[in-house]
Amino acid sequence: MATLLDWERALENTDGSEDLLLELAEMFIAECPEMMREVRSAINAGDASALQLAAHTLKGSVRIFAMATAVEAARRLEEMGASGDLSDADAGWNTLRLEVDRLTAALADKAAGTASRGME
Amino acid sequence: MASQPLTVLLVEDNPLYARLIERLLGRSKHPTFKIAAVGTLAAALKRLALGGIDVVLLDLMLPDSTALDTFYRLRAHSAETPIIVQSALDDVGLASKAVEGGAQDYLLKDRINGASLLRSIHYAVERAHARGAEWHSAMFHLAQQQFLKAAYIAGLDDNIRQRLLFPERAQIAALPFRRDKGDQVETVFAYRVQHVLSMGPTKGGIRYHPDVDLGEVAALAMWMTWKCALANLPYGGAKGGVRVDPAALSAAELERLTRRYTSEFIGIIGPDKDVPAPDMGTDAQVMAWIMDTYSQHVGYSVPSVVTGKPIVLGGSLGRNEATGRGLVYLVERACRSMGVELDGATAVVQGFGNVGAHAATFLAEGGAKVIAVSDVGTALYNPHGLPIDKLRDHVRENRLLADCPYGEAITNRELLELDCDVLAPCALQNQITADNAGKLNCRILAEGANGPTTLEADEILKDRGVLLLPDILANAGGVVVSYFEWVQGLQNLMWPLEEINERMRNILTDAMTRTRRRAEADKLDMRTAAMIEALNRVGTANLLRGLFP
Repeated sequence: MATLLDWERALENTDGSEDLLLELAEMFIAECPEMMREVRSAINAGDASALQLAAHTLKGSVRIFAMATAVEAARRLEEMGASGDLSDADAGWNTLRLEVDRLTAALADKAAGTASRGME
Repeated sequence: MASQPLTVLLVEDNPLYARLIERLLGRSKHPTFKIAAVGTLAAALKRLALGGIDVVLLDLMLPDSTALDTFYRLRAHSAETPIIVQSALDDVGLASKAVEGGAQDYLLKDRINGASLLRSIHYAVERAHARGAEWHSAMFHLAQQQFLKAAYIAGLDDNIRQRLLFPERAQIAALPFRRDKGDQVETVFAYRVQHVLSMGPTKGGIRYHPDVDLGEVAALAMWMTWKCALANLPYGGAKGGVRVDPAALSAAELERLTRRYTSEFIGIIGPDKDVPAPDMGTDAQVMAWIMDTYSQHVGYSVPSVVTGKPIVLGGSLGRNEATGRGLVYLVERACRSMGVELDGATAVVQGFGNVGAHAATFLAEGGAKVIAVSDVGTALYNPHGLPIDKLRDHVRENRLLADCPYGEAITNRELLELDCDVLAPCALQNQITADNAGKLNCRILAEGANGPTTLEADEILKDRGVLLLPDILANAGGVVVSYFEWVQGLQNLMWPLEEINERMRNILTDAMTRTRRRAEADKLDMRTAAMIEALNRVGTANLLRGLFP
């Protein structure tokens, strides 16, 4: 599966340190389900300001990995939260989930890839 | 540098981002950092209260507070501690507003890296300290705020932004001069500040005023940079000043002071280096003394070392009234664009010095009804229009407008709030603020003075649909004709007045057209649009020249 994860660009965020980027990737994989749960429950509750905040946090996290499509999906939900109009939130959620799944998969690959390289 | 660690209060609810910052700061050896990380505003306020925080890194979106509220609530608890706002690119406007509100700097989360993070913290801490001393000035703060706002919106190169925030060269001298009486020697503080050295020689007036300080001179030098760049003149900005009350000095004392000033700064002025001009408290006579002192020093006449000279020494026709004339050229054009004719429009002018008196004269010549003017102590109102010639005669005889019989005396506050087509503040900085901007009743605000309007007031005026002609555009006529004087001097030519006025009109209207085009295209207020026009020129020039070595 092609991914839009821009690893080189992401490395700039950590001053070129792959170790740090991988550390953050592991953190993200661990924290991601909870962050997504907060987005989902804000949508379920129709709570616009909770959605804005949850989507903002998620956006900040995925941005570190420089995956533009995931950032954009989170940003759209954040905007819906800010405007108070949640009518498209379900569609936004579906896109976000897809993008975040792709991101976590790609990050897991990276982590595994470096790990196995380390064992050679 | 002190090896003591800097304590950073990191206010960030996103655990990944907090970790990233901690790790990036953790690698630094000089300085080293202690980090106190909190995830809510409440926790941040609690930690701040304990003391010992050198700088705050603040995320604006927190679970218990969002957007600007976060900044203002934290600010209220830490007026002294510098705050660096962290922002995402898609929150454009938020960070710039925080900078307006007094944040030291902003960091873009999209482009975070160790070097920019360290530099921003280092500068914020060091500058909070420096500001407390000689740079402390409301005017310099305003100039920096305006610059940062425009730099943020324009996406100005990060390195260039840091370079332009302070002047490249600033010299202070304790200046002794002999008084007339007995053997008394007065020592006053004198400044010459050159903001940008990469555009050509620097250009800017010399101000004699009892309130002058380094910060004020630096602010004025910065505005000169934008003014010259906006008008496409081949100059960087400069300014000079002496903290002295010229009204308390005799002509002989003024001459000795001026000659000593020239000799103190003689190494950094010159027709190819830095070219002074008159400003508040100085005039053509002062320029003549500077020219003579400089010429004596090098051994031959160098008229182009200053502009605003007397005509017989190589001064330019039209220089004396140029700022007021240029302002009215732009007002005329602004009127037309709003479907008003200057002929028959109503105008209010604050200030009756060189700029204000000439602006009022040219407004009246253009057919406008000048219904109110003021000077330092008096404001006069006449709904049928004031006779500007007679007011000028009165001032020539009595120095001030006081006791002038042609209008009703009102307060300065009432003057600013009069219903009129054109309001031209031509006196002092900081006249139109958040307090009175909502009460202004003008359609066009033409800033003859430097910095008369605060950033908060800018926002209010924009929302109310007032057309702003910002200072760096509206009062640029003076420096444009100074440029002509310099050019004529270098070529030993004399241009006729009509040519000078026509050339000035072309330069100013071109600058106004570019500013309006940008303001409309990018939905900006006129000041920010003008600043960005200027910034782009200076930024491009700096990038093309590169950095030596």
